[in-house]
Amino acid sequence: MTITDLRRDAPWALWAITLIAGTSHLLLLCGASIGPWLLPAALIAAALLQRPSAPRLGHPCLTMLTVIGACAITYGSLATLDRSWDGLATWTANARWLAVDGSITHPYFTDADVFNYARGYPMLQPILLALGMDWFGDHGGRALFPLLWLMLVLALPGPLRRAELPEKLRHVAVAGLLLTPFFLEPSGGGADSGFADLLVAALLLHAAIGLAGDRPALMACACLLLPMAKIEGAVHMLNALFVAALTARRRSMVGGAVGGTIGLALTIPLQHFIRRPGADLTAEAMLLTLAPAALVLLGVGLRRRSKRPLVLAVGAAAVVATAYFLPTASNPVAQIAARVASMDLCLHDLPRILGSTMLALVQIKEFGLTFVLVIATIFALTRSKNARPLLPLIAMLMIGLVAIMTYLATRPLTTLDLFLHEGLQRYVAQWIGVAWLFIGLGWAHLRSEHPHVHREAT
Amino acid sequence: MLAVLAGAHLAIGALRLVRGSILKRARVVAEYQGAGPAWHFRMADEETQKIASWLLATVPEDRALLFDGDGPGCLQLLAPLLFPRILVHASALHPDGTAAGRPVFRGQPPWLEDAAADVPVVVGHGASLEWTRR
Repeated sequence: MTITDLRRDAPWALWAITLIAGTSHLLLLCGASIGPWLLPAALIAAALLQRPSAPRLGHPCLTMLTVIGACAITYGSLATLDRSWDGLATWTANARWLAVDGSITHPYFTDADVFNYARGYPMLQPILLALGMDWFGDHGGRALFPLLWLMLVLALPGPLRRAELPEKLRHVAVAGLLLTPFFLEPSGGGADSGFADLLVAALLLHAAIGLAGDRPALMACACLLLPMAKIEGAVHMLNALFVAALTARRRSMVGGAVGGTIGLALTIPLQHFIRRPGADLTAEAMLLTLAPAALVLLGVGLRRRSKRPLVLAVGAAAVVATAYFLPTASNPVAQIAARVASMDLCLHDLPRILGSTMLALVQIKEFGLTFVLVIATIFALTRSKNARPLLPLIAMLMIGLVAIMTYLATRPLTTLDLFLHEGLQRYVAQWIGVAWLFIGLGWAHLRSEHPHVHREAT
Repeated sequence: MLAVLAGAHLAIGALRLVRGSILKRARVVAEYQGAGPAWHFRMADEETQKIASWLLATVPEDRALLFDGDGPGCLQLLAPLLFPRILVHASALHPDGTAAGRPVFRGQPPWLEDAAADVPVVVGHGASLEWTRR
């Protein structure tokens, strides 16, 4: 694979976000300001890496539906500032203070006595919003949300086309994603609600495309950005990386490990400085940056035909040591890892968590029949003994589901109900794009007499 | 079976596109525009709504407002709505009357008894706000 191949491996929009994220995190860590120049500079630099291309949806009806959806979200985004709790109180609050002078030297970030409920939340979405606010004002900056929705929807046709899914089925799969109600509607978690779940869903879909097609640069960008997007983004990144190692997607494994390590190395100190103003960053707090390498070793050691007991032992020991020695004050991922490592879980609530999760998957008003179709497609693939090429995506979805339930089991009893009623659907929604990628690729395999073709095609 | 499920999904999605994405969004935006930022406190008690609306209309932009009490709840909404003012914990009040480098807001809602000698503190009790002077 040449440098040109790597450059063309990830789409322009993802390169642009990666450049913005990397540069802005470095600037903030150095105590410098993010200037409005960063937005055009990143867009132009990304265009040098990968020329932006017009979206190819393939059917006028799809184009019309996409335009209607994007217009509705744009109206909801621009007509008012945030109307949803978390959007206002966490992500946009940080963005508006960041937009004041582009730095985190303001008392809002540096003084622990100043009320900042989002202290230590990952900064990618606030950075993107603040850059938009610099150029287009408080309302105009919210144009980010329809753009993120388009980024999610427009990521799907390419890999389905490469998998040689017949045109009509491809249109159905893309329409299935863009008509899934959750992000289209104005409720909490919807695209214009200001929550960061849409950003995570778009990045997670790109990671899944990178995993399915063994595309290193795509996987690297997605894995770099996921920890910067939301707290659970780090878990999604580790999930994708572990599955890549387990299923011998070597190129995406290496790309993802490099991207994920850089992403964590930039995110952890920034989160630390905002979360605990004035406290020194210890070497132990940076232990989490070893997690990608540890999970890669574990995944390689666990491969079915692997004869590498030493790699397995080292990987397992590194994962356990990372979870055990990580100081819990360093960041929320460490707190969750510590609770899981010490089995400090609401085990007696597991049936309720399991039931609520299953119920969330079949919430027709939120997800239509997305996850019913995932289960039906797995069933059809298993019956035709054709599921093997799609095992990475199935594994990623299953581990994702287990991770959601594990996270819920770490919640204190006093807040578990709140998480089950409000958080759970958003965590499931982050998987909408991956679900439709799996459905589309699954249909391609079901229709193919030569399933091995698609591994190469994707 | 897959074709039937996919068809049903598209039908549900198309229906929700009209009802949820367009009609519901238009209704919610109209409600918000009618009420202004205090719309966020529509589920709170009447006193909380009055305090929040009055603060949003009254506190000068360069001031700090002292707070105490529970973080989660109404304070979570009040803080970003007050931007560019800041909420500072009551314990951080300096003897010179500033907090976090800003002069502290000392106004009093007109419908409450005046106690100009003390400093106002807005106290969060989850889903409600209380106005006190200390």
